Amino acid sequence: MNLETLLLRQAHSNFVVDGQLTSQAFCPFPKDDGELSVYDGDQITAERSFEHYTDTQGLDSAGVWAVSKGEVDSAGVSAHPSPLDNFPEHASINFNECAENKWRKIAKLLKRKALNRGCQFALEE
Amino acid sequence: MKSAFIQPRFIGARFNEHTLPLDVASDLRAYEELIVELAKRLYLKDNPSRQRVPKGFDADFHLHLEQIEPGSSRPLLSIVAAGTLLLPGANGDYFQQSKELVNECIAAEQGRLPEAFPRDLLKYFNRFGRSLRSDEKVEFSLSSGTATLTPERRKHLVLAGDKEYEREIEINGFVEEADWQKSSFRLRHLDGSKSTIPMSQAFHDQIRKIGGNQRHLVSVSGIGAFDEWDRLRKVLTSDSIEIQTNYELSRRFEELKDLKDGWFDGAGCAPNPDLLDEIAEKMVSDYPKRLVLPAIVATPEGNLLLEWDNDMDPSVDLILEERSASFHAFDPDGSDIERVFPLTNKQEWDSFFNSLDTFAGEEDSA
Repeated sequence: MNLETLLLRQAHSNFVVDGQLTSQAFCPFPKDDGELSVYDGDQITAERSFEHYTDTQGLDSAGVWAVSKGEVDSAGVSAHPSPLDNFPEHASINFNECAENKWRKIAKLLKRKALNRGCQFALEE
Repeated sequence: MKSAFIQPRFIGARFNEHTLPLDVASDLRAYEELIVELAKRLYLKDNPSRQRVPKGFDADFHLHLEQIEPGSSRPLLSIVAAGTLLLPGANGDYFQQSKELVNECIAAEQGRLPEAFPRDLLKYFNRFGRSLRSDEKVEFSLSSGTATLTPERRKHLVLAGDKEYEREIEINGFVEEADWQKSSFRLRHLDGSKSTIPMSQAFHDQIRKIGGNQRHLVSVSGIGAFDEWDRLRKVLTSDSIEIQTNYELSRRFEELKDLKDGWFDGAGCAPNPDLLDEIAEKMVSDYPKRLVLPAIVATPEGNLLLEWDNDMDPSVDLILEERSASFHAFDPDGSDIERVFPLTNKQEWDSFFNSLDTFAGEEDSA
């Protein structure tokens, strides 16, 4: 993983309203202890990550958006590989380096970067 | 004097209790009018030298709903006559013939209507049978068999004499503009098509308030004219008009209310429905119409995030239990703008809405 590595984030369909991506897609879930799960774009394409997320894991995704590791760093958080059993492409963005009351702001910075890059993969309507 | 005239059988879920919904009264009224008009035509056919029927020909013909018997719902319609209509040799025979001919008309195969039935009277089926729902029908006894009137049969009967038929409508859309002189307004349907809706004076105030504002959904119930392919050609009447204020917002809050615990792939708390109602009520009734609507999503903790799509990236985290709003936006220089608003009374809500003026952006059109 380097500064150019794209980190692929699956956006839950409840976080996309009438096509508008919200920053909630980039906000860590409380149970994940401030770690936001992403796919390491050096190891898997956006389309394959979508298939893995929805078909293999059976989870919900409205589409795949991406931020680079460099963008994550400049937002004030960090990204690192965190491979799991049978899921070597798993990576995390660690929000714990910031106070929890700053997470919304960071999520919005990441959303901005992701929107500038455009949706990486989504099923056609 | 009283004499049983006809006893149709209404079949469908609405008639299972052996009662007759009041909606059906207007159908029966149309049936009576058809019987009278047809009886007049039959009389004139038998008496070609006459220009019109004798004075008082139908004055004694009045159908009364005498009783409703079980077997789905079987209203007994009787003639209650004060004069000579029911006496042998009187004109009452024409009403009996009229009844038989209407029954034959209903029972006729497609394209084979009885020749004696005047085609211009088929328009009465625009009203007779109009209250029937898609899974309902009315049966009339024939000397052999049964004549069955269904909504589809009714449609075909009308279209045998005209290019359009009428049925009840309920359509939703937005009021684009009103024509007060003609007492009508133009409705843009949700699919983008448009209709001109006639309205009574009683609806003017309602339409005046929401005209041109596409945030308010209008539901119109009335009568529409359709072609044989069931395309709406014209709205003939609007009997009721209901307005759903800030439709997009209320629709969104309804969606959020449908969330159950576990909505986020097995995790995620559903927002408390009572607190959600409280927020929805304020947002739907008071959100300023000048401001762009936010995207609203639930957070996994069961709270709400409101987010506007503009350069300042304004957002509000609504903490339902605390009744408070944490606002954040990026100043053009990149610094943060942050405020917390309590939302426990109207004054605080007003202050919250006013503060959005700078950040939410204005709608292109009111």
